[in-house]
Amino acid sequence: MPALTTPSPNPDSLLRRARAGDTQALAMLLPLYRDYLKLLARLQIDRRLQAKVDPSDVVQDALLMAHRNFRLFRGSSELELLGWLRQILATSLAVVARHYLATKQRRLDLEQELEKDLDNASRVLSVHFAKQSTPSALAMKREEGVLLASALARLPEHYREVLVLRHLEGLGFPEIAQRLGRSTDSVKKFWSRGLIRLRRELEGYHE
Amino acid sequence: MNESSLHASTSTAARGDDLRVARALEEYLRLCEEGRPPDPVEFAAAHAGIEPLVEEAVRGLQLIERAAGSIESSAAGVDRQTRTAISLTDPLGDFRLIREIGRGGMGVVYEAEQLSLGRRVALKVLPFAAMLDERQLKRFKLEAAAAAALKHPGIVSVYCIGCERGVHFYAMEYIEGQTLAEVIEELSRSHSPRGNVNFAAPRRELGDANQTEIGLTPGEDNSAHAAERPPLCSHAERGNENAETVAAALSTLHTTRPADFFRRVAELGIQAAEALDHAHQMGIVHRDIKPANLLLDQFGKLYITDFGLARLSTDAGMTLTGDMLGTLRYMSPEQATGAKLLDERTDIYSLGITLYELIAMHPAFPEHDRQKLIRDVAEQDPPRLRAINPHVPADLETVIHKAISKEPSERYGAAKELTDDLKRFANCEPVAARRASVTQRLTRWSRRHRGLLLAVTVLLGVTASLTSAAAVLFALERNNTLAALGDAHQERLRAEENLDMAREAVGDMYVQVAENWLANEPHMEPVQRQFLEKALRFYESIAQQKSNSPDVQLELAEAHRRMGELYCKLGNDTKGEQALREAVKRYESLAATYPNRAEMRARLAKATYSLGELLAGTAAITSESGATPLFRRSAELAQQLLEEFPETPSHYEHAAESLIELAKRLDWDGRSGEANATLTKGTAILQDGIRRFPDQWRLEFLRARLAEADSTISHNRGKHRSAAAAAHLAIERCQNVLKKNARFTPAKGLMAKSQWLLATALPGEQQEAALAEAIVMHSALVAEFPGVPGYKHDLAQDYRSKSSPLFSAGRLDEALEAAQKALECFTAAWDDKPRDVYTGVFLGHALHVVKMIHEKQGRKAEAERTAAQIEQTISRALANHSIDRDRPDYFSGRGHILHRFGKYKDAIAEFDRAISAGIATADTYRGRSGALLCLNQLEEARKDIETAITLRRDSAIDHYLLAKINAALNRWDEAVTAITRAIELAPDAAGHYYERARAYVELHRYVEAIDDLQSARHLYESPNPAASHLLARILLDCPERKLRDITKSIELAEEALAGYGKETNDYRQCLETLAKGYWRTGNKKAASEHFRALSAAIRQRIVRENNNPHLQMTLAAFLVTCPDEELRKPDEAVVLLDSIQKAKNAPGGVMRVLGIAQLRQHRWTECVATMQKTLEQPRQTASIEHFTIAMAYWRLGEHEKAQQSYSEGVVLMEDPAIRTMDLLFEIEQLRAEAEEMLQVRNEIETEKR
Repeated sequence: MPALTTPSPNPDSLLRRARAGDTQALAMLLPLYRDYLKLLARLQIDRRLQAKVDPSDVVQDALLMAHRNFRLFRGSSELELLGWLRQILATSLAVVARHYLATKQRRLDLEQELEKDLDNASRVLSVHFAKQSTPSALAMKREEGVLLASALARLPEHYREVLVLRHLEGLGFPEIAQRLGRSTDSVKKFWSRGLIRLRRELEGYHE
Repeated sequence: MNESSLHASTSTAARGDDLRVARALEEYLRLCEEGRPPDPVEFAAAHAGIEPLVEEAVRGLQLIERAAGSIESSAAGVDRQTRTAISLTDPLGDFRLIREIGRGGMGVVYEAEQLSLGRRVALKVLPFAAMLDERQLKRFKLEAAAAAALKHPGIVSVYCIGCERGVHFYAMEYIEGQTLAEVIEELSRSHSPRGNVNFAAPRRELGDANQTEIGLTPGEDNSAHAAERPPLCSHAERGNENAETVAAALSTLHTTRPADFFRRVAELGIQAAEALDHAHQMGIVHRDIKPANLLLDQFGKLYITDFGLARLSTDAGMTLTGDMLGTLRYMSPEQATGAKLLDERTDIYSLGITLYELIAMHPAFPEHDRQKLIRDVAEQDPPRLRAINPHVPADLETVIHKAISKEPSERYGAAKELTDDLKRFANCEPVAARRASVTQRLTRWSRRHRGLLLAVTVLLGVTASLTSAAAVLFALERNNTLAALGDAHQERLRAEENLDMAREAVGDMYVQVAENWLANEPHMEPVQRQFLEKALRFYESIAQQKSNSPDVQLELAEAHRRMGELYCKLGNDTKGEQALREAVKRYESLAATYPNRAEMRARLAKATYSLGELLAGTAAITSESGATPLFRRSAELAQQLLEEFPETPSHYEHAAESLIELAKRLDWDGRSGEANATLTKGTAILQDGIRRFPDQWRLEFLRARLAEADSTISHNRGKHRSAAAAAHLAIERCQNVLKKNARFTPAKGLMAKSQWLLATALPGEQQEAALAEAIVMHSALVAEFPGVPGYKHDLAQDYRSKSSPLFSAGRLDEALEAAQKALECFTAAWDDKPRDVYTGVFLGHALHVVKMIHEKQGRKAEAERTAAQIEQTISRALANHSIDRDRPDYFSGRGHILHRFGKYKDAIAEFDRAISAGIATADTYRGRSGALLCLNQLEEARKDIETAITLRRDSAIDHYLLAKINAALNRWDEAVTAITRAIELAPDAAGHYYERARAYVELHRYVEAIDDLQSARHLYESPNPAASHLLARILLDCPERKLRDITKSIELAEEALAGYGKETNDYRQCLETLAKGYWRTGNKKAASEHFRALSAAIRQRIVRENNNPHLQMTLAAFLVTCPDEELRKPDEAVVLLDSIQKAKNAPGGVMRVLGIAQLRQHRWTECVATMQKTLEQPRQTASIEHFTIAMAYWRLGEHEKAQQSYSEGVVLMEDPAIRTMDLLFEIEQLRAEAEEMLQVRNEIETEKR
């Protein structure tokens, strides 16, 4: 579990350097949030647009936009950065939404709703996470939503899918089984293993 | 961990275990849903064989479920959740909800009954509270609790703040009536020809493609409108007739009796302002004053509601999502542009803008697009009210427009002032507010741009319609200067698109913003710095364009100067120095090119001064860093300007400022005569200035600075009383300044520093109390301005000053505590300003004290650790100093650092490098000489200081050092010559006279010594123990007996004794002088008391210092020579002498003390033998031996020999060539003893005959 055990680049110092104009630091900083943004994007796209849009593309757009406009970012903490990235992601999603909904006119309300959703989704990720008193989690002092997203991203795909569909999208096992083209039993197996793995990822657990 | 390792861990379990775990999990979930969540460990234990897996899976489930469970509540979910939590039928804690009476941006309001008290309340549910994290929630609760404590008839009382079933709410007084927002809406509906001009205005759609990139903060939507709708609207919908009456009555007034309408408006304003004033006095700023937060009851009485809630919406991120447009419309420019530190003037603005809306019947800023609204608030003055409605009385218009000035300082300073002016209007008296003057209006243009710039800097959005100046700034970021300038022209926005206007705009903005920050606020935000850096780049690009214009050149030089000052404030001295040098260079050439333009010279003086200030304060560990000539130059320039333009107050300031700093430097350089003259000149200029401009508090501040400089200089010269008096004066003047301008922080800083100066000039206990006060003052400053290194440094000095006397007094624990505090503060100050070598040096001192205390208290490990820290500090000081690698005094600087840390050999090596590189200065040689002196390499040290003197003839310090070296070489005549020269250069340095007196004593020139000591005592002003004691000794023991004055000697010794710390060597010596004095006067009782005290003190010290042989020697000598026979203990002395002889570094003179001891033990033969042996070494004080031998011979019956020895002793002691005071008391005592003995014999012989 390299991301948790070996010290990953410290986002605070990267952020500081990036703000001071260090483009290399910026290039290292923004990808740290790819998983997180991807998870948020995926949740929004699946739920709201029901369109076959690859979240990676939206996130890529958003990160590009963030990179180009980084000088406009005024915050100094990771939390502020996340809020800012979510705003950008909402804009990117709105562009995609316009495209798929074939509306030429800009739907401000849609965009704002998206942003609010993202805000809330992320807040939910973090607020509840913050209550975890796991020492390692606390020691990280990172935005917990980001940690969850990264941990999920490190799981094997079929585990991750089951966990996201089950817990973040709230589907039942039969529906998940149908979507993944597997039996309900094997989905449940993935589920229990996935939970164990997730916990180990998050706790920095070793055997 | 990969897939296989997971399986490895589960391989012991059968494959089917996965399914069992899954079923267990489902069961767990079901239990949770039934509201009986089991303990994971217990739950797992019930699943034999798979317990660890189940437990882990359950924990994983908890992790993800917590996150996922609430995702459903996203978006409108928060609101939904709130609604489900609140059902009208279930009581919420102590409250039964009756009905919903309003809904808005800040929450839903219910009419409710408080069951326990049976009273009707308004209960506001705060949905955003659920979104706050714990820290934010805590802060909200604190603020709300503070606001809830407000009790005022004009403030809606808050009964309680609570949380039930996860719902946060706020129960408050139930006011039947309307909000002012509703009143205004009704008024505008009935009076505007277009009907609903404000809220019903059609929303603008933004289809502009350009907005995609910048529209990161989207515009508003329906929910934003919902937020804008007044929350308590259903008061009116309920058909409250009384409430209707308020609006209706106003409406009638408006049409029938406009004068009364406006008076009524003023009355409402008075009520609101009075309520605000109360809150402000309690330290609470509302931050969200707007029509919807002002309630009117049926009698027309006004209440302010929602105190303490404003931050809730900000914290919950609502401003970012654009929900708070309804609030933004009424925000002050500083609040709308993101300022964090808001004071009461933000409320004054918001109240003003609310009253404006009440009169105009539509919002001052009707804009619906968020970005544009922010810009309008920041930079647009709304139309004058009389332009909207000519019936508006001019005075009321003036009052309201003053309240809504963009610049907080132009508004009313306090709600009370607004109240007073509104009352004046209501009473038909003239108001205090004045319409803006022409110049004020002219400067507003630039301010609008500053507002805009801050808006775009602070917030994300950059709109397409930037004004020219801002467009230039932002385009510069793209390194596209020329294009940007072209673009700016093409923007063709407003009237002021041309380049000169843009330049002036930025310049004015710069002046207004930066000057104010620099002069009045010692701290700085990063945003402000970025902003100023941009302004500088802007200037540079302009200069490239129009390099021939002297005005642009001037502006550019000016920008460099300001940048330099700014960097210095921020602790970046390197960049500051660079910028300032550039500015000085540019100004010098400008002043030379345009000799007739006085402003060039004025600014040259200012820039030169700033550079001097920087060099004096930071890099300059060597005195030749160039600060002195810079101050001299700026003082000359400023004085010249003053002669030409005696009517300009700022010239007085600059001249005085330069003279003050010049005086400090001169004193530092050892030219104190010149320093005195300089201060006198400064005093005269300031007196003249104050006479001409009695209202200029800045001149008073300079007078405070002058007094502080005077105090510092007096302090350096040891003139404590003058130092204390000047410090008092400085404090008093700072207080005067603060009376006139309470926000002027530099006066607070100076006052605290003066308090420290005062403390260090005071004796003993007074000092302790005064220091405690200085510590309080500096601590407050450090807390308020943590970004200012100077305050931390000063606080550290306070602690350092506190620790030394505690250390001397042996209060080691307290001393340690203070020293450690000093250490902490110095470290922090140094971190902030690493180039400040002095801070590092002081840090080293503090560490040294800590180390000594550890050693004394026997904590070896700690002492060693501290020693290591000292080494680290040295390395760090050298590393920090390496910034100055390119300066000519680099090596000397290193040498001085090493010298100050006691690394003399290394220091000498650095000085040698400077010398061999051919960049040595007088300072280099003086430094080298000082280091050599410390290594006791006296001849070489003398050579070096002589070289320094040939390079720089007039430094008193050089001559003083030469005198010290000569003294160490026993060249007393030359020492006197050197110190006399130092006295010529610095005639009022008490220390010089003391040193010369010491040399005179060595030369047996007692008359001159007494003279010098009297001068020194006079200059020291307060008792100086060293000078007093030396004088006491001379008056006691002077070989020229006619100069002796035992009574005076006792008096002086008593005085000195009071000044010495009890544990010190000086104290014991002084005790001895005193005892001997009493003995001489025949007061045997007092003498005996003091001798006893002396012996006790020495014994105590011997125990403390683990049988230090030198102290043992002192005791042994005392035990055999004490004139009081009862105190003599020769046996003990012999034991002591025995152990002294065995010790390493045994002091000399053991044998002669042993000889006297043998005499006292009646071992006559041994005594004679011992003493004859010591006589082999010729000594000026050999009379001791002769008299001792005389007495021993006499006892042995060898009367002839006794007589002979006695005569030899007398001859030696009366030899006019030998006039030393050394041991003279003891010699005289022995002589008297011997004489008595021989006289008895003579008498017997005579009788026999």
